[in-house]
Amino acid sequence: MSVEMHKLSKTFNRQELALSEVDFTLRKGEVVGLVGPNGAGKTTLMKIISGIIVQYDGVLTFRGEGRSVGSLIEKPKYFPNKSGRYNIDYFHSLFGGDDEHFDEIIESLGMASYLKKKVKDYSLGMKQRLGIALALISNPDYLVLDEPTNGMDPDGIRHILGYLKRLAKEKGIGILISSHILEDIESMSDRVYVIKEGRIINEYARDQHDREVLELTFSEGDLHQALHVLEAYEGVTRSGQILSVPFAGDMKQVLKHLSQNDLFPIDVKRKKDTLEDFYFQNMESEAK
Amino acid sequence: MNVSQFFKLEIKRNLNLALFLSIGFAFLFGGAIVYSIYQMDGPFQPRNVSGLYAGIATVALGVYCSKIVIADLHYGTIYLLFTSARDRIVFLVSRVLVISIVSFMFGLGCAALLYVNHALNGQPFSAGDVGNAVLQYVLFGVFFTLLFQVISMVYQKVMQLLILSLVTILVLPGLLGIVFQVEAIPEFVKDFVAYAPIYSLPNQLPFLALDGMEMTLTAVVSLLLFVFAFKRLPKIDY
Ligand SMILES: Nc1ncnc2c1ncn2[C@@H]1O[C@H](COP(=O)(O)OP(=O)(O)OP(=O)(O)O)[C@@H](O)[C@H]1O
Ligand SMILES: [Mg+2]
Repeated sequence: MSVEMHKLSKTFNRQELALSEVDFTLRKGEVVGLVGPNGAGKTTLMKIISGIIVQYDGVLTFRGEGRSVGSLIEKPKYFPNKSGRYNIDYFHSLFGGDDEHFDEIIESLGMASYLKKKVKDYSLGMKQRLGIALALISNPDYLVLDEPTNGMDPDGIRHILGYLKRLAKEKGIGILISSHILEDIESMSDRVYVIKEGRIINEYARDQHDREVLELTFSEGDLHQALHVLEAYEGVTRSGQILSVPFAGDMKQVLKHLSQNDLFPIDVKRKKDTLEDFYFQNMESEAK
Repeated sequence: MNVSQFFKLEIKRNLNLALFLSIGFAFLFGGAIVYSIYQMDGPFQPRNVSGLYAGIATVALGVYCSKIVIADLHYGTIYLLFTSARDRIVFLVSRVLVISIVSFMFGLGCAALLYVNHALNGQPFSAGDVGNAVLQYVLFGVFFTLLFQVISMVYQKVMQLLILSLVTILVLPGLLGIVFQVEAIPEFVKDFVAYAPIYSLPNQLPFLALDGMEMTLTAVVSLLLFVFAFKRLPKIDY
């Protein structure tokens, strides 16, 4: 049960290529992150899954039962002159779902205290929560959230992301979430797609989350030769003067190999390979 | 999307205080003529009564026609409503349904005023006038709603759409009327303009004077607009 894109491209105004031959999969029950610079095509991809953009080349397929999508794209959408309660009621009765679901959403998003207020008088974070509530209210099979944590306080972000992650696992919803806050994406996603200039350039998998690397900093002069020596090891990446080698319990071999070639790093650090590292490595290698 | 729920919600959302106020206001405006007939025993006719009523009613109804197609575009709530081809069609049908009910109320207001004029001043009024008033107002509402719906599908700028729709109803008929004053313009062009709903509706509705031909044409053009929107709407990016 999944939604899949195969060689999907989207051109705006006949010339601007916003997505280029994208292959993408979102399965039910998993949380997939989408990260990339401004204008990379994140929103466009999400609008296509949500059925808001319908003209594109390539194939979009929903496999298996259930193909409803709830979405929060860019800014939250609502009737501003009505109360939060009205808004939620409206879409709740439109898309069905039981009252228990309704109450659970309001409680989980911490909205109870300001439901009676007109939405135009909401704070940024309150509006954002309403947007998430409206995406959830239809009890969808897939949930598409485009920068959902905008304007929310740190406590709220942690709470709501935790709630969403639980929803994915407990109710088997497939969640696609984008954000420029890489830690948020890392903390909740099973996989993360890195997108740039309309292409998915890499994928960051859950098993990489716990991966550790040895970061070796070399002087300008040694850099080139060090890179050459380390080519023998798998997964070595470069970011400026830093070469990252996947940590494999015992690093003696690597260091010995370097010293045999008269190469000595000027700094050595052992650290977790974060999504942030992964992101910047990909951005840089693309720029080369 | 639950279709009957959607219709119910949309009808409720649009039958609001503003609607009753504008009908009431049109009623008062037309009522002034009824009163002056009563006071001075003429020189006005029922057509003047419905005409003055329409002075407010057509503008208010015109605003409604554009409002119901533009509102969800403006709020962005179409992002929540337009997630499948089916839901887009349901939306389109609901526009026609809602504006029919709104126009019906405007028509009823007009008929009620004509009745008051009859009761107070003994001027002609028949049951047929009620049907006629309602039918013509509904044709007006449905035609302009579908027209604005189609325009909004090509052109999604909200503010400009609102202005465009007011211009269409308030200014364009007058401009088109110039055609009849220019000798050189061939007869068939004049006929074309005369029967174009965009000209005939705003000009004839005030006097409830649309003839069978004009009504039929309006219905046919509305149907064509509907078919176009029906086919196009599911294929548009938002
Ligand atoms: N309606 C549109 N018409 C024309 N071009 C568009 C339209 N929507 C998006 N684009 C273009 O498509 C590209 C991708 O835009 P998109 O909004 O998907 O980026 P994004 O990854 O969401 O960026 P951000 O991080 O800034 O939200 C951009 O070059 C943008 O200018
Ligand atoms: Mg975006």
